[in-house]
Amino acid sequence: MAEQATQTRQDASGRGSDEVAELREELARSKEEVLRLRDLLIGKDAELGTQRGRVAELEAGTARLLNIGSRLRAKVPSFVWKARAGLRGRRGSQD
Amino acid sequence: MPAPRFSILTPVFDTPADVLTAMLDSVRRQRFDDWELCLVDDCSSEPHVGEMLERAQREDPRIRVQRRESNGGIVAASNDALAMAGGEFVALLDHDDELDPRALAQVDAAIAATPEADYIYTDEDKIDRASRHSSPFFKPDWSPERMRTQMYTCHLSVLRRSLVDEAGGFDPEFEGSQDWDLVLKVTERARRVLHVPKVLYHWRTLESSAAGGGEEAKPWAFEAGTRVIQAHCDRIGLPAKAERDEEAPGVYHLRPRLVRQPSVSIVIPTAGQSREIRYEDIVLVTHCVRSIVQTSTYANYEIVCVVDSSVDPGTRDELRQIAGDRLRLVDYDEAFNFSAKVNRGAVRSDGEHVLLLNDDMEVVTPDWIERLAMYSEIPEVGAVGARLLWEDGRLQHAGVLFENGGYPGHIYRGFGGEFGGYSNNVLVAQNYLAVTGACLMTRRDAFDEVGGLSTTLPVNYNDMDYCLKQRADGRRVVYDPDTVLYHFESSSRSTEVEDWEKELLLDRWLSLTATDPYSNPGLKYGIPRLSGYVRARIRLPRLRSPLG
Repeated sequence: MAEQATQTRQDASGRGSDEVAELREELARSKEEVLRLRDLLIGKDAELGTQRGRVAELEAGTARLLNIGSRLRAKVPSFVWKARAGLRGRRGSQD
Repeated sequence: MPAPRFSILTPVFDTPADVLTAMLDSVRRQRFDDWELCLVDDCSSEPHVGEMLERAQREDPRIRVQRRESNGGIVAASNDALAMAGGEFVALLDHDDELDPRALAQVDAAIAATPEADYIYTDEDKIDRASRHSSPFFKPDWSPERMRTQMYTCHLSVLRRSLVDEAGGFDPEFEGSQDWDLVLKVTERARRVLHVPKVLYHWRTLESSAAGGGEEAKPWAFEAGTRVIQAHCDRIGLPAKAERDEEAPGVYHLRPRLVRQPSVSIVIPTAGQSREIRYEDIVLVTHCVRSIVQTSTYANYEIVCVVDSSVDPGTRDELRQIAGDRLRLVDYDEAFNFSAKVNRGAVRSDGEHVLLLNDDMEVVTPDWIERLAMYSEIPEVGAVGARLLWEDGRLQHAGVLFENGGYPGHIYRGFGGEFGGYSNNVLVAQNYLAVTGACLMTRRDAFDEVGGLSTTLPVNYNDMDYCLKQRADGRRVVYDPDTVLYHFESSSRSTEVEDWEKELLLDRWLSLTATDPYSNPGLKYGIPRLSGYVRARIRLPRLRSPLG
């Protein structure tokens, strides 16, 4: 597995050893860049997932509050209803 | 009569009357009604047993009793109970133990939430003859690697009946550890395994029981455990030999028996620093490489040192002398970025497995590479870590837990090196969300798939992030306690992490780390938080009505 200490002057395609080394280095750099981009993609995907989770959490909280609000509204008489009831009461007492 | 949800299997033999009554009462007190209790009297010699069981059967049609003509032992009696059972799930209850009144209701709720669950287990504690509670066992969520070195799920275990039948019921070959064998066989086939993190089973500590007498009470059970693990490894093709821990009862070890020797690239990023180790000033990386070459028994590895351009030629020459043909030197002349250095070394190496290693390490375990490779070869495993000790022998790393709102922390950091942990969790292999990158083996395909280490985290948390990426990709992370190295990280080193690093980790992984599945609500970094447990156990005296 050790790196070849000696390299033939020319490989099968007739390229010089310097050129082969340069190509290998370029390949390695490309692989590093692929790793970086893949990580970036996974990272952004994970961040998106977390944000989606937060949105879902907020939506659930909002729905809970809306539900509480509507239940309260159902229990507490509205201003108009109270005003009408007041008027009716006053008329009743006048009659 | 329609089939019940749960069939409780209870083999009975010469159970003391008060203990048998407590067991029966605990079943009758269940808040969930859809059960049957299958009792098999294994030819008890005490006359009260038969009488009590007959009475219980008369009083409740859900209680069914069968008596064996001869004593057949726990496996035969359990199989008889299984034959009586008609339920969708079977729950295992020993004749001297008790169920919490909420047990079946909680398990049923868990199954209702996850209908594909095939095996469900709960937390447990111990009770004495006077029903005093102690020693709660707060368990992690499903951890296949731990199950191969410790029967940690134990009580209460509830298994889908159809899978129990597929597995062939209780195997007489493993008498004493038949439950462990059955659970392993069922989980090999299971779609989902659930953990209910509540103490719902009370294991009575009688002198005659394993809970009270330990290994001395049932030595054959612990011996059978070795055979259970070996049979499991053989079935799933894990190349390992099971061995029993001579000092810690119930703890087992896997010794690698690799059928092939995959190539391993050990990647060591280094700046060529020196430090005083054992009263001697040494160059860390040369010491590390020397310990690898001198200690390792593995043959098929290379060492890839990613060296800063500032590292002097003398150190480079020394590395070449020590490692010879195994060594590959890769230059790094950019601004410090640990992740970039690791990635650079990894892409310039050929091994099927990449072993990330800090330069301030010293190998202790000769077959450390074999051990890590044994786990790393499992396709569902994405990263494997080791037990690391500081120079003074204290624990530096035995796994990582995410607590305190999703932030990572090393479990038992700074505890004594001999510390076995809570329920021996330092001594047994197990899964975590992350292990330290100071010594971490990963398969190359898994490394490439997740983009290696994140260069956006140049100093801290890149190893945590890496493990979480593996986890998000569906792979497990393993801690192996039997791979030991010294980590000469100064114990007084500042572990300060920048706020932006913390935020980035949370932004990426809070959905995974908010509730660490390998912790438990009853634990904080592996230490029991007993307040909740004690509160639940306190029984207030019943107030009598003044009216009588």
